[in-house]
Amino acid sequence: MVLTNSQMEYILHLFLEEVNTHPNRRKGAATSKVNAFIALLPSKQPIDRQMSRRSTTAKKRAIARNNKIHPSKKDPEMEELEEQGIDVSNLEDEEDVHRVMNAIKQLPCPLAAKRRFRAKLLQKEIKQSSGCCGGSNTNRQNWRKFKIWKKEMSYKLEPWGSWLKNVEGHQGTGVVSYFVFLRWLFFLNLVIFILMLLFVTIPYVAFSNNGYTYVVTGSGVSGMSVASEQTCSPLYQVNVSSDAKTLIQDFLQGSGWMEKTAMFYGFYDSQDLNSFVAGHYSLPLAYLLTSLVILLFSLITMARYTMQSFRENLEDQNEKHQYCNRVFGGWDFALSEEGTAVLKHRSLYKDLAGELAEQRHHEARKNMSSNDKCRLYTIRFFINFMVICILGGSGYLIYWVTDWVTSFLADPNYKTNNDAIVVLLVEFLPSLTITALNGIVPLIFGIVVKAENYTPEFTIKITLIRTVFLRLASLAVLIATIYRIVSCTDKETTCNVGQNACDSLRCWETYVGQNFFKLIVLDFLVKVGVTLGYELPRKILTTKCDAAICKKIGLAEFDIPKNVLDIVYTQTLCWLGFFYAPLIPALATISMFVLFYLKYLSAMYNTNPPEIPYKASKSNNFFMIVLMIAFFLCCLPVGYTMVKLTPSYGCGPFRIYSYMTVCVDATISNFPSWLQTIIGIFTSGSFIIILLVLLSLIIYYTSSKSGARAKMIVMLKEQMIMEGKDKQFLLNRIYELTGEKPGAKKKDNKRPPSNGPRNGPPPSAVKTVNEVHQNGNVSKDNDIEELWA
Amino acid sequence: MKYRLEFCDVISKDNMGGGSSIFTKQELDDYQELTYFTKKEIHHVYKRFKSLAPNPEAVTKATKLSRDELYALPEIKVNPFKDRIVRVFSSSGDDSMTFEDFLDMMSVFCDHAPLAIKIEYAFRIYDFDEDDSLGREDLRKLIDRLTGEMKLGESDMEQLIQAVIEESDLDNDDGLSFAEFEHKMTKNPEFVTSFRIRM
Repeated sequence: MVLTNSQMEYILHLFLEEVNTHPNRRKGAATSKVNAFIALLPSKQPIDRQMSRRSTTAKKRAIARNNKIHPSKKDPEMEELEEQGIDVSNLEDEEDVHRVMNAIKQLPCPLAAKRRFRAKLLQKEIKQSSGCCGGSNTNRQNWRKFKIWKKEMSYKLEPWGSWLKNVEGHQGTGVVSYFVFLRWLFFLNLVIFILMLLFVTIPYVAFSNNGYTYVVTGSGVSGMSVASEQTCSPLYQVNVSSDAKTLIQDFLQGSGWMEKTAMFYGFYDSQDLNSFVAGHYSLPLAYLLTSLVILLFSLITMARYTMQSFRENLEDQNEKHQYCNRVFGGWDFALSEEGTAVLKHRSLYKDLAGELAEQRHHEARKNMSSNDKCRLYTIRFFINFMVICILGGSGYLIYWVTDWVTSFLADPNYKTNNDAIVVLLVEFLPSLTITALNGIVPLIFGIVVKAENYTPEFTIKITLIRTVFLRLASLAVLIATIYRIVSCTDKETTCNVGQNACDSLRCWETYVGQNFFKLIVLDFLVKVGVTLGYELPRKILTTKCDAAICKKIGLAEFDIPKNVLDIVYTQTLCWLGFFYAPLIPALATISMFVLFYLKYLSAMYNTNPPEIPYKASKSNNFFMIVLMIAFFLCCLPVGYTMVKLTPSYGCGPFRIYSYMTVCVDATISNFPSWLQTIIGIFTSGSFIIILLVLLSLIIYYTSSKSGARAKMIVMLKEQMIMEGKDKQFLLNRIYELTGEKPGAKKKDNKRPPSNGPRNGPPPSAVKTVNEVHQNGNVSKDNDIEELWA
Repeated sequence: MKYRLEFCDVISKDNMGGGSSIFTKQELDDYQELTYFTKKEIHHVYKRFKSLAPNPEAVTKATKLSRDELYALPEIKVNPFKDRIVRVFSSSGDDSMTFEDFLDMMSVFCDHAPLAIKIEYAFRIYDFDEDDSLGREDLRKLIDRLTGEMKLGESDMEQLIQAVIEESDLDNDDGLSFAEFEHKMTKNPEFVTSFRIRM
């Protein structure tokens, strides 16, 4: 001990004096000296808590000193405001008033009191700001009014707002996050559709001239060949039958009359459109640029959405939060129905009990014998191997089916030799395979993962990751198969159509578009089917039949991860397909629109909320990341098509070019030469390299800054812990001195923790006490007076 | 907590003046400036307040709803902390709320309220014994209310309380002060999404 008893007595005496004169002394509090002393601690002051960010102790002391020097008769309200730390002494212009108003808004005070404060403030004579600042003040006020108006508008116009509230009351915030995500994707698709419509479809439909002879820009550029296109385009014929059954079949498959519509790539032409508005409107350039803009727009909106949620989710990876988060953030305040509340209680109970049991299990698991560990790891290895085999098998199945179907359809007599239903089935076979695999294999994963004995959280994560992998892999295999079919080398020379071993495709882009079209249609039908065919019967069973087994089956659960992955999958298909079938975003938009109402009905009437509490923000981050990965994977085939693949000679906007990007070259060739030089510089290799180096430097700088900040956080946390221990030590000494017994809840902490080895440099805030400890004895009273003055 | 209510009391004592059932411009401006609602939302809140009264036609701004009438609001009815919510937001401390109290409550729970004010009120709601700190007894009552009819066993409860205190108590006083609570909740993404009532 370094402070003697007499010194401590003196300190205590000083403080007790202050206790008796402090105006905020709690009435009726225990008169024990130590409790009175504790009530003085800064952390126990209600004032500092709210305004600590805004007013330092020094500032408050300055205000108090000011009041002592000029003891003017002040309103009680103004005094109270000042004690809260809001500086109302120099209110000069409207900006100050506004600042104080904002501070009042944040006070944790009843509304009536805030109104009194505000009324008093408004009564004060505030002179208008003169001179240069007056104008900007009015501007700022107008800006504020505009912001309020904007908020009102967005509140009025928020689509489906009341529906979301209903779902929130019935199912809770986890399910609502799914609907919010669905709504966001709906609007993204709507924008994509409108862009394509405005810049590609409508100009072509409005201004195209029929026939195949016309003028195109930049005819001198290498890679253009108008001649072959004139021979091949008339050869691209599509048989349209008027049979009703075939019409419907064609509608679902995207063949026949559908193939000739604006839905598919083959409809568009490579001419420069002559419109009275814009002069020459080069359709190929418009097509290419619109596609690039759509991809860029999707990327930017996704990045913004992700950054917003990352900013809110500042979780420290090293700390354990699980119990605090569950206990304090567990109850969903938005719930408003009895039945759901009961389910929520049950779910919370299971979650907490399960987590506690898991922790005990974890302790046991750490002490597992090495034999058991070896066995566990072998099991895990085998199961992972099995998962990879399943994925490989699914991939091969998709490849084989697609191949077989394409060769079946390439046979010129297939329609006459087979029944219409068989043809329909065969056309849809690749899509059916993929959808069936997407449905069944995740169930297998769910069963198999139980043997691996992971923690529940990790189990969910790894099952999700495997499912995502399956979906992306199946799409990748489909694309690879199509690529193989399209890039088959045995082609005849006039019109580049496959012959002999290769399938003859006059318009391969439309073929690709048709594949994705079928996938989207089937995806949508399956979703509708599952809702009507699986959830509805269970609901009917639960309500109509009274047997015990019916009760046991119960309502289906609203499986949020599966539903979110479904719409991510739809969006991936949309991104993959929109380049080959420009109106696929319309299909995606309609599908999401219908899905919203379908899932709303399902959430409100047919399903129960999920049993495992759904951590909305963490999972949202995960799904956003999956969406971004899917987006980048979609850019690869589309980009490759634009840059490397030869367009069909007989159809589409790029039929006269040897590569799709040649149209950009053609346009540039018409620019003035100085512009061409500038563009040349910006696209040259050295410029790109410089840009890359700059970006890498910026990334390195920001990552090292964030590393430094993380270290700072660790250090500050240690300081906070040390301060707590110091306070505890001092309190114990005081208890010793006054002879009072500490309350039952205080931990016994006799050993002064600050004398032990320290982890870092002593922070300046506790310098006074620590220096005292480390310097050994302090014998003079003067030092103490200095310490506490 | 009693500190703040005391001085606020002094000010708000004679603000219970009567008024008509529609708002004056000054009042509406005040409400818009001092809460996180727009004018439309304020009217909506007023409608809901009226719907809770036994005689909706006779409702003025000075009407006080008693505790049982407040419990009729669906979001509060099923909430395990309903008594604490009503107690914390009732400016007169007797579990009855005027319209301004009700508006205050809805404003804190709305989407636009900043995290700081939500944390402040959450701390007050969870502080059952109103001693400015979440001690073991507070945590015990909190967990009990959360699990509803099924109660955790005694050893489970002890383990859970111990875990919560270990995770968040930094100054070793066997309870959570406001600073520690705030420190934990700013990092908790679930808190902001769950501590919300949509109007």
